[in-house]
Amino acid sequence: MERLARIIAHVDMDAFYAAIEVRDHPRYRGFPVVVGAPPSARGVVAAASYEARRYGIRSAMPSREARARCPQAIFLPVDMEKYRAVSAQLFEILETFTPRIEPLSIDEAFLDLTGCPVPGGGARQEASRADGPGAAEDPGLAIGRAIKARIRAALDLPASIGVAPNKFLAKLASELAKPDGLRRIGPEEVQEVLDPLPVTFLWGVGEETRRRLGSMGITTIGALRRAPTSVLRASLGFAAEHLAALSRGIDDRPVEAGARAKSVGREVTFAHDTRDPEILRRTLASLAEEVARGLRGQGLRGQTVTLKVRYGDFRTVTRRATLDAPTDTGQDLYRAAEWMWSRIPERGRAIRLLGVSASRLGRSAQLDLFGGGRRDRADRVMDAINTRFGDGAVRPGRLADAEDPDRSHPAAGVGQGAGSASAVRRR
Amino acid sequence: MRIHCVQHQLLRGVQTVARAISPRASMPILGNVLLEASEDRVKLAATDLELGIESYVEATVAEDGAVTLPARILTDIVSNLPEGDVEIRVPEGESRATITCEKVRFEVLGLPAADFPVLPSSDGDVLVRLDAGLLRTMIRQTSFAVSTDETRPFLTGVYLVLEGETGQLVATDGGRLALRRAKIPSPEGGKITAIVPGKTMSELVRALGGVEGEVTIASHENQVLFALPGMRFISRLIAGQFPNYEQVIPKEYKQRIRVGTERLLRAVRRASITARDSANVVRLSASDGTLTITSNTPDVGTAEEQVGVEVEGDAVPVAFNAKFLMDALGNIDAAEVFFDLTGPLSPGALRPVEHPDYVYVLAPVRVYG
Repeated sequence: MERLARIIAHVDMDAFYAAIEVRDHPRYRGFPVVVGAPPSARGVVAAASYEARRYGIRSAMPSREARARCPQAIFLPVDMEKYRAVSAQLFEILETFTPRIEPLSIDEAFLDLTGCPVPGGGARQEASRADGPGAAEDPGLAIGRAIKARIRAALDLPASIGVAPNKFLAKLASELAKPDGLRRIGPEEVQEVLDPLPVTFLWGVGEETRRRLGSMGITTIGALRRAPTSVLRASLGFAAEHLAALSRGIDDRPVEAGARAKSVGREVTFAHDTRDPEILRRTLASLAEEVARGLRGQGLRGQTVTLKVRYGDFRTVTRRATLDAPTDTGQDLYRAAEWMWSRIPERGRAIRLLGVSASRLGRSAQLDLFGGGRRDRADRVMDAINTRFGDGAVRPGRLADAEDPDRSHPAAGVGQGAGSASAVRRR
Repeated sequence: MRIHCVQHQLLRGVQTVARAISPRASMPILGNVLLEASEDRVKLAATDLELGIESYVEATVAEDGAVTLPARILTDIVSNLPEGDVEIRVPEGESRATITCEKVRFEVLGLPAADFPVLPSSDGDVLVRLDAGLLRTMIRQTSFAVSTDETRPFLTGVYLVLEGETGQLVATDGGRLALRRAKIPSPEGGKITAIVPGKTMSELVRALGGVEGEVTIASHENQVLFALPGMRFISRLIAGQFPNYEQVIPKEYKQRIRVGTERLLRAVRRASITARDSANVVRLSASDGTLTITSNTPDVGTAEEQVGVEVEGDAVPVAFNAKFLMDALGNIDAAEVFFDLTGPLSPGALRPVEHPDYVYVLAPVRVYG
């Protein structure tokens, strides 16, 4: 029996927070809108409207810098509760198209549309079975168009949707379609689309890899594809196979549907391998804090803490510790991570990546006889302030030395794909 | 070295001391058992440098001497020998042992006894002498509550408190606390406290299983010694401050439930089948002579059970970790217990109805969503 070619969609809302604010305050339409910390405070931009982006304003940029770039920009505080509610509506809409949804963040998801009925396409037409005579439109594209229309009609918000045979290409397609676009990358045009793009479009290519490839004269995906894998392997180790496959548009990762988060994790790849204990300690502290916020944001607590360390030669070690009770505080996660860290031999070696994650998740809170509750409340107050004024407005003392969390680990790969610095979802 | 001993006595000794060995021994010698022959016995010893266990086996010693042999091989050999007289010979200056029993002969390669870590031979300063059975009960009723979170080392041990004519063992992991008190012969000196590692306590419980008589607890430098008939435990102590446990034991209650221990244990065990997530939550609420125990997990199912009880005070609906309840109910050794509740988000306490020597405090679970 013939296996159906997969149809994967990547749905990504455009400037989500800013778009919601503009929708709810029509007088701001057409103006540069920045959602995040006020420019007078320390703190960063959470989202910028496309008008604001024209001035070079990006999310995670300090609000002060955003103001300097565009003094007339409208600064609005983050209203996380509202955005979460809109996100819930968005996912309800997506679920009417397919049950196979893998949420990536509050406003972004992969959908597996393989075999799904095309809305208004009649009973005969289903995804991936439409290329007979008389087929009107590619079924993936038709469903993508319907999703986009539904989002527009129900939420009055712009979305960009990419449709392709796999996750990597779908995400690339939505990126190329932005803003407010719809784009399909079909099997026949993969090479034509990929070849001219810079290598940084590939999932997993950060600054360091880009530099290594550049030194071999490889700057585009096309050049990478034509380079012999043996040459790549010499320079990149076993990341070479992965990149070689992606450069050909090959990506077998399934859409991990309905899988409730089994773990919440953050990891960071350093721009340059480091052995500086102070940087490593601070990075651990800020990873622990980010994981804790991720947990609290979803109302979850984790009882098992995993530390991941990757050395410069890509050798990776992981350590696991189980706490007495599930936690959602950065302090507990940091204590466990630091403890495991202090017991890893070879700590003197240069480190490429650090990761912290929490698993064995649950929603209940085992109370502490000895009054761990105060810590709890402090975290919640901190979240409230950070939500109100933007990430990093307040941070625990452990992080006080870290001038700026982004600076202590500059290559935090927030950009491409499901790579580093995004919530880890594993089996 | 040349000795003769009885197979089943040797086996018991080897099995006892081998419990001290860590499966992740950092040096080969720490995977070995020391055999040291003198006078009319063989001393066996093993250690992971945190806990050392010694056991004495009656023997006819023809030639003094010592050697260390790999614990796993030694255990396998001795447990498979025919019942009867076992001879162990180690030629002078070598660390290769010949083990003979009837027509069976093994040669085993070991390591020199001189490389084995020295365990203190001193008997230490005696702190107290206790009945072995009582000590075993005290440890069993508390040690299950120790923390397994090694990032908080001071909670990973059982807190020993000797003061006046009272001896106390206390253990807590922050979520629950178990305390067992006993009247003891007055110890030497004033108040004595020490945090004894959980592993030491669980091995001690196991070893005390077949022992009758007295146990002497003594201190030697930063170590604690337990001398049992025929064996000795030498353990390091955990440094650090044990939390102020007295303040978390409820002195009053809003509601007191009197319930059959076994009846409650069975009900909680059943409810735990559908208890939600890792916190294992079961809910309790008692009024009009009925304790209702429920649990639910959204994607799994629900459970509900009524237990006839005696109730004093107004209903206090509360949620607990089922495991915390089962651990205590299984070790409390009482036909009936008082279950004292102080509030939906405040600690509860289990106490035997018959005597005041045991109390178990447990913090509730806050359930969201």
